Order: sequence, then C-alpha cells, then structure tokens
Amino acid sequence: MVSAILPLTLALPLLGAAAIGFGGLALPALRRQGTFLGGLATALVLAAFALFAAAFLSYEKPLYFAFAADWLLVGEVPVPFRFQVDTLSLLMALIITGIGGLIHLYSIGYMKEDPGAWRYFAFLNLFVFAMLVLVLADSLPVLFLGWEGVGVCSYFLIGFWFAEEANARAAQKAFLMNRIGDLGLLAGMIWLFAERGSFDMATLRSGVYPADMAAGVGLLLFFAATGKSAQIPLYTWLPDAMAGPTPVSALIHAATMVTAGVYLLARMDFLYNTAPEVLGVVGGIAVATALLAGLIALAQYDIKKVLAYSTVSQLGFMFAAIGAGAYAVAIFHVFTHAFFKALLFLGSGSVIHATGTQDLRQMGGLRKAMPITGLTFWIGTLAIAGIPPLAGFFSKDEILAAVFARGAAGQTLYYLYWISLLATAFLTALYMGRLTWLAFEGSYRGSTPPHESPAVMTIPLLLLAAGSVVAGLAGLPALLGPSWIRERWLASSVDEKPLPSLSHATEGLLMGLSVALAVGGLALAGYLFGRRGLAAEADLARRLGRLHTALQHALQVDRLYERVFVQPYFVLADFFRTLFGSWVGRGAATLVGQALLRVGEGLARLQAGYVPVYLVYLVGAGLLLVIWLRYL
Amino acid sequence: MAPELLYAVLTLSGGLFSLGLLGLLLRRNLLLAFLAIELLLNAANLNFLAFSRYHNEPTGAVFVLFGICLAAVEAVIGLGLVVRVFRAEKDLGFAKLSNLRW
Repeated sequence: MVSAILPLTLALPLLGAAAIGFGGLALPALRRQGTFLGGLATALVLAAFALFAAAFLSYEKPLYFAFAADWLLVGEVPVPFRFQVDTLSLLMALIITGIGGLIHLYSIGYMKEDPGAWRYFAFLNLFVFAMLVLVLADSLPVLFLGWEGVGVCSYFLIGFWFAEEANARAAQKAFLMNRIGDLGLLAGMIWLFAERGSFDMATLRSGVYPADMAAGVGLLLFFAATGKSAQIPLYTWLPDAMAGPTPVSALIHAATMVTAGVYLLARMDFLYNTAPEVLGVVGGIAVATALLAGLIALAQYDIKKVLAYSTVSQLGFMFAAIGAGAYAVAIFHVFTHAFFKALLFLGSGSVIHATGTQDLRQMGGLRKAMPITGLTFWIGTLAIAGIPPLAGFFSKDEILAAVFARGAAGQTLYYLYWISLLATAFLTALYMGRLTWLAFEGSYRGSTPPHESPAVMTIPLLLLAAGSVVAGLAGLPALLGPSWIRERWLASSVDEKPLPSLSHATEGLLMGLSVALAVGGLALAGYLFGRRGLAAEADLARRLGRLHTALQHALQVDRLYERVFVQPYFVLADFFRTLFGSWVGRGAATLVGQALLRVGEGLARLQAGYVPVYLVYLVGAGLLLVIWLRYL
Repeated sequence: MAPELLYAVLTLSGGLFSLGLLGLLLRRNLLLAFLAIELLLNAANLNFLAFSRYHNEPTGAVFVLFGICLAAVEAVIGLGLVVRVFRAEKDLGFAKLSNLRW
C-alpha cells in the first residue's frame, strides 16, 4: 500500500517547484503572495515527509518504484527511472524532507520582505526534489541526475541575490568546483559500467571486483565526494556559499547537498571494503580537512563563516568514519549533524534578521533580547561540541571509537587520525563557545536594537533544538546498549568493515576523554570570551600574530588556487584568443577570403561576353569529352 | 547501300560539319553564324539518313524529320532574334553584342 504512494514523494516537491516557478513567471500578481507560496512549498515538503514517515513506520523490506518510461538506453542496457527505498535511502529521505521542511517553514518568516520569495521557494522545492532523486536513485545515472540537480539548485540559491557581483561569483565558484568533482563520479560510473555491464545498484553491489579496480573507482568517487561534500582540495566553495540567504545555507549544510558525498561513499561501501588502502586515503584527507577547517573557524568574525567552516570540519568527521570503514556511523553523524547544524544556521539567520549584520564584533548580549534564539543556539552549541547527552556527543564519540578501534586493529596510522580528531573535537568546542559567547553573552555592541524573531521562525528552532537533544539516542554506544541505527536499521543496507570491539573499559575511557575535551574547549572559550569578550579576541590576535592573520584569511588557499589554477587558465585563454582570434582567425580568414576573391576574378575573365569565345569553349569541351570517352 | 557510298556520304557530312563549325567560329556576323548553324544541323541530318539507309532502319529517317522540324522552329526564333537585335543595335557584329558581359 505504501509503495503505491511513494512516487508522490518525488512528485510533490517537483510539482511545487514547477507550479511556483512557472506560476510566478506567468502571473506577476502571484509573486506578491510570498507567504502563500512559501506555505505551499512547505506543505508539499512536509507531505513528502509524512509519506516517508509512513514508509518508515511500516518498513519491512526495500521498496522499489519506477516511472513508466526508461530514461536512456546505453548500448543494450536500459536505464530506467527506478527508485529504491531501503533503510539507508529512507533515513536520508527523512532527514531531507524533515529538516528541509522545517527550513521551508522558517523561510516563510525569513523571506517575508523579499520580492523574489516566489523564485526562492521554487528553487527550494527543486533542491529538495533533486536531493531526493540523488538518495533514492536505484542506478548510478539517476543518482548522477540528482547530483547535478543539487549542484544547479545550489547555484541558483547561492546566487539568489545575484545583483551583487560577489554573490554571483560565489554561486559560480560553487558550481564550478562541484563540476570538477562531478568528473570523478562520471569517470567512476563509466568504469564500473565497463566492468560490470550494469548501472543497477543491486547488480553493482553483488559484483566481485579486482582490488586495484575497486581502488581506482573508489578514489574517483571520493574525489567526487570532496567536491560535493567540501573536503580538501575542493572545499573552498562552501565558505563562499554563505552569499545566499541564510536558510539556504542551513539547507545546503544540514539537509541536502554536502551530505551527498557521505551518502555516495556509504552506498558504494562494497568498493571500499575491497580496497582498504583507499580508506586510509579517505581518512587522512578527512582528518586533515577537519583540523584545518576547525583552525580557520577559530579566527573568523563572520558568524556564517564560522558555521561554514564548522560544517567542513564536521564533514571531515563523517569522512573519517568512512575512512574507518564505519559507514553507518558516518550516516549517524549526518543524521545528528543535520539537526544541530540546521539549528545553528537558522539561529544565526534569526540573529542576522534581528541585527542586520553578520559580524560577531557587532553582536553581544543577544540572549536577553532574543531568549528563544539564544536558548536554542546554546543547545546547538552544546550539541555540536559533544556534551552528553546531546546528539553530537553520541555520533562524535562513535566516530572517535571507530577510528581508535581501527588503530587498535593494527593500522597504526589510524591512531594519528584519532589524535587529530581529538584535537579537532577540542577546537570545535572552542570555536563554537567563542561564537556563542561573543554573540549572545556580554553586552550588545551593535547599533540597531535587536528583537526576537516571529513564531514562524522560532518554532522550527525549538523543534530542531528538541531534535538536537534526543537524536543521539538513535545510536547509543556499545557501553550503554545496542546502537539502533547501526545494528538494527542500517545493517541491512550498509556492510560495515568489521571492527574489533573495544572493551567496555577502553570505551568508557575514550568517552571520558572526548567529554573532557569538549568541556575543556567550552570552558576555555568561556574563560576567554565569556569573561572578557572582544578584548580577549584582540589579545589572542596579538599573541598569535601572523598565524591569526593567516587563519583569518583561511590560509590564503583561495589565493593559491587563484594563482595556480585560475590565473594560468586565463593566461592560456588569452594565448588561445590571440592565437585563434588574431592570428589564425584574422590571418586564415583573410587568406581564404582573398584567395576566393582572386579565383573569382580570374574565372570572371572567362566570361568574355563575346559569343565566338563561348563557342570555342563549347567545341573545346566537346573535343575533350570525345577524347575522354574514346581514349581514357 | 554499299559501304563505299556510306563513306562518301559520311565524308560529305563531315565536310559540311567542319564548314559550319569554322563558319561559326570565324564569322563575326550574327546572321552568318546563324547560317553556319543550319549547316551543322544539315550535316547531322545527312549522317542520320546515311546510317538509316545503311542499316535499313527507319528510326534515323524519322529522326531527320524531327531535325528538320527543329531547324524550322530554330529559324523562326533565331531570325526573329536577329531582327530584334538589328533593330536595337543597328549592327549584327559580335563585337558590339556584349551587353551581358560581367
């Protein structure tokens, strides 16, 4: 019964995007009804959520649904529009529509004054649709369709206020960097097809692959994931993606887009289980990204930039779990992270809405004026820092335990990863504490008096805060009981690489260590920024000197990319423009033109206008014809 | 019809054809060129007849009837043109008739 209505889950957001988008294009009068359109978009996404929830409650075995026509025919192999609802994709779909629905609801309040709200909600719905296609796809080309759709939607939404050039550039950057990664997915997909002769998930999964081929495809897919999920080397687009409206950031960072890479790798777990050395690469890049982004977040003054780098860092945690072969743990962190990151972004949106600035130096003491935002933001901070029993604690602890266990299994490199992740966990608590104390405690430093946001914005905050508190219970550590998400739910669709189980004592020790680091980070932040506010910031900047400046400019990675990739590209383009534009273009075109003109002039002389001359041609041609027919 | 006679007639028609061609190429007067074309046509007719008799085959003779008919039509149009050209140009020399030149 449920399977019959499942196609609606895809149809509803698509319908919403089409109706709002084309309706707004055709009827300018409709555009003024931003609140109504927002309500419509929200209702559609929440309806899809309800359908997924029904599927969740009655879940027994994977369900499939397909649309009547095939999409492509690759040689003899058809690629149908077929979708799969198994435990992994259902969980992702619940996150996408649930968190996404709350973000829609919040957007009604946030975008109230914006004349382009109709455009905004059309793209928001399309974004949810594309992400659903991505996670539900039962074959790689359909997944790729969603993958690209997500990229396009992010382009439109990051560049939503495209009248400012910086925003348009940020959108372009996000799109192009994603495209670089997409190449990896495309190449990996083709390689898999060449080996297995199918795009179908179940067929691919049941295949046996040579180790080096699995490693190659695994690396290609991971490269694709670094683009979409903002890991080294393709992470620089995510901090710039702040240019869009704040709820869009929440959507990109929590429910859609960046989790796609983690999902892809978890879906392709069979490749990584065949090629363990690739897991080492994934883990190494992940922990490096996590640490780097954590450091950069420490020196940012833009509230959204701090959160953006924190997302990059948290994604590093997820990929570290992938690197340890604990794919379900990575998905668990996607799940908990979705709550508190959406909460933090929406909270920062509420702050920006109230103060009209994104600069932490212009905030302070906001908790008094905005009690709900302040309270929920604090919950988000505690959750992401990993304070028990909030959501972030459980998933982060599971990741640390998995990486540590991989080290204990004899791969000593993973101990290094583990230490690096511990340092990042400490940094997470520190920069989040810094952010929250600077923004919400102390005294107000801005000029416009802040006010609490309307209920349409605070209700999603409260719901997300509740989620951030309890979501972690879905994955209890072994010490406290069986992890539902890992052992009951995801076990049927994800094959984790077996890990040695840690003794309860070791596990308790690890847990204590990570809690101590989280508390320590927050305490240090409170000691520095809670007591002295911005003065501590100036003090820190002075003491760290050039390191602080470097971190503030994100280690100039953007500039490096600019110098190494962008500038040479422009130089090359200039060169070819000169070559083909001036030299070949003008030269060759002139040459051909002149030559044709000359030939024309020469041939024109043959037309003497004197009849006997034509007769001579006629007779000559006749003679030639005779000679040709007779003698040749 | 004996082959000798055929050769003689073919030689005659060849001569006629050559005369016509030469006249067409060398004469500088539209009317004379026109006469030369008549010679060419008649040379061809003679050939048709000669082979028709040689092969005892009426097709060629029938073709000659077409040819004569064609020549008559051509004479009507051609002479009409000549008259029109002469009225317009007061001259029938090729040298002056070059209005259609590039």
